[in-house]
Amino acid sequence: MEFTETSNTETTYAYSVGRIRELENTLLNKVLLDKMIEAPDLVSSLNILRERGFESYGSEAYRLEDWENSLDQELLQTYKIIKDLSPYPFLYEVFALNYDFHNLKVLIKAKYRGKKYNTTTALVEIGTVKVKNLIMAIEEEKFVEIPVPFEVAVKKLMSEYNKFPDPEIIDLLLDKEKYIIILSLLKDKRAPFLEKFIRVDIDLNNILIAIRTKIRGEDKNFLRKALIEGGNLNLKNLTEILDSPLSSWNTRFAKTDYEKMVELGLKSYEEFHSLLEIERLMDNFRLDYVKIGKFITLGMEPLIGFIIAKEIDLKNIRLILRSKLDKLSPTKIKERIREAYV
Amino acid sequence: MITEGVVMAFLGSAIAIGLAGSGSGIGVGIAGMAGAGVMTEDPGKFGQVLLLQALPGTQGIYGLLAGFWVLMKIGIFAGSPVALTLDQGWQIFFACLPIGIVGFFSAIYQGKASAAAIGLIARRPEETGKAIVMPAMVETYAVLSLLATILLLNGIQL
Repeated sequence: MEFTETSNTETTYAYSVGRIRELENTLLNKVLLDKMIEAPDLVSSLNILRERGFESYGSEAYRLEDWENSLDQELLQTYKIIKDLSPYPFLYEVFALNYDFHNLKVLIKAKYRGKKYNTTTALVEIGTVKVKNLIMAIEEEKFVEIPVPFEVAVKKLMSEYNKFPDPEIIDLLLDKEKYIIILSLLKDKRAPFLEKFIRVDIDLNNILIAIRTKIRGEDKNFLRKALIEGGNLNLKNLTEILDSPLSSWNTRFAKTDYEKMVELGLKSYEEFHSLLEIERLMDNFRLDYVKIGKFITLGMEPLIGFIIAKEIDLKNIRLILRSKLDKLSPTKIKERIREAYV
Repeated sequence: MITEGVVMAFLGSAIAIGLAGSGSGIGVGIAGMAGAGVMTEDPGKFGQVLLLQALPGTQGIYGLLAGFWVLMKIGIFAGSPVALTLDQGWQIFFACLPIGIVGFFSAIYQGKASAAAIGLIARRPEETGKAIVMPAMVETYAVLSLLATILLLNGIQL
């Protein structure tokens, strides 16, 4: 965690931070997470969640029959609040772009599978562009209602996909384009903390892309195309390590902030052949990075902290409740759970 | 009679009232914004928020007090101002600076400390007492500067 040059001096954030402090009361702390995990079944877990008080998201929230819908509603509501309280639109847009690109991925994959998208079940109404405009752009290839950078991204992807029809290309290329748009959005915005966070986020994505590429046995050319520019890690170095065995990768990240995370994540991969642990460690890393928001009064850090904390919180709730459905033991659930912000 | 000395005394009084008052305006504004944010989500915290928002307002009162002290000292309210020499005018002017300058800056910083304290009561309403102590500490220096201004003013022989 580090302070930035604009930390605690920007009085324009006073209202937002006051509101965020109150909203932080809706986040789950470790005690509550443990109580939910230790609860004997799904119903008890849901009861604990309801007792915590999510009234602002509707009194009917988290019923047994539609708790997943409540999670979606809570995410929607969170972004509505963030849009409402952000003194500058780019704060909302940087994070909402993730959902625009999620929607684009869903639509493009559906298009290539030859499906029409009549319902919006997998689409999220959070992004900066209306879902119906995205549907029109992808299904009918009418790009008038979407921003030009989106059009450029989609056209670039379509031409690439025609050459290499691999569904994974869709995720990789769209993620790349997403970060190009985010970084251009942040240009001249005097948002050093947010920019640093995005660069860390790019690094984490790049590490995961490199690991997946290695596991899939793809070559350096593939990795070079997939890696996202704009992070702190040197992309050339990241491409070079593809030749060495995964077990030695942690040494290649020595003296970077990611050393411990890569070491533990890869150790777990070697043991269980799953990337779940490194994904969990990455979420914890992100959360730890934005925890500075708890100590700033006049700055954007608390807003960023809250957005990340809320997303991880919802991920934790979903994970616990699904595990309860699958009757997983509390020990197993605890192994998968992310840290709490508060 | 309005002499150059009286003009300097007026200037001192204006600085005490104007600077300290401006600082308080900014400080109360910052705390007010944070308070409004908290109350958007929980209007029940109005009492605690109001108390913390009011704290940076005291510098403005101290400045007004010092300004009035000057005006009383030079007999403005009595209707016949003392014909101050330029030296006496400068003395009054400098005597007003402590509350003017310290009042301005301390009010802004107290406003920031109050905004942080409002964040604290949003998360832990049971700690209101402790939350008030933090910004109240800033008050010490505003009080000391008011004391300095009053002592300086009292030391000026007219």
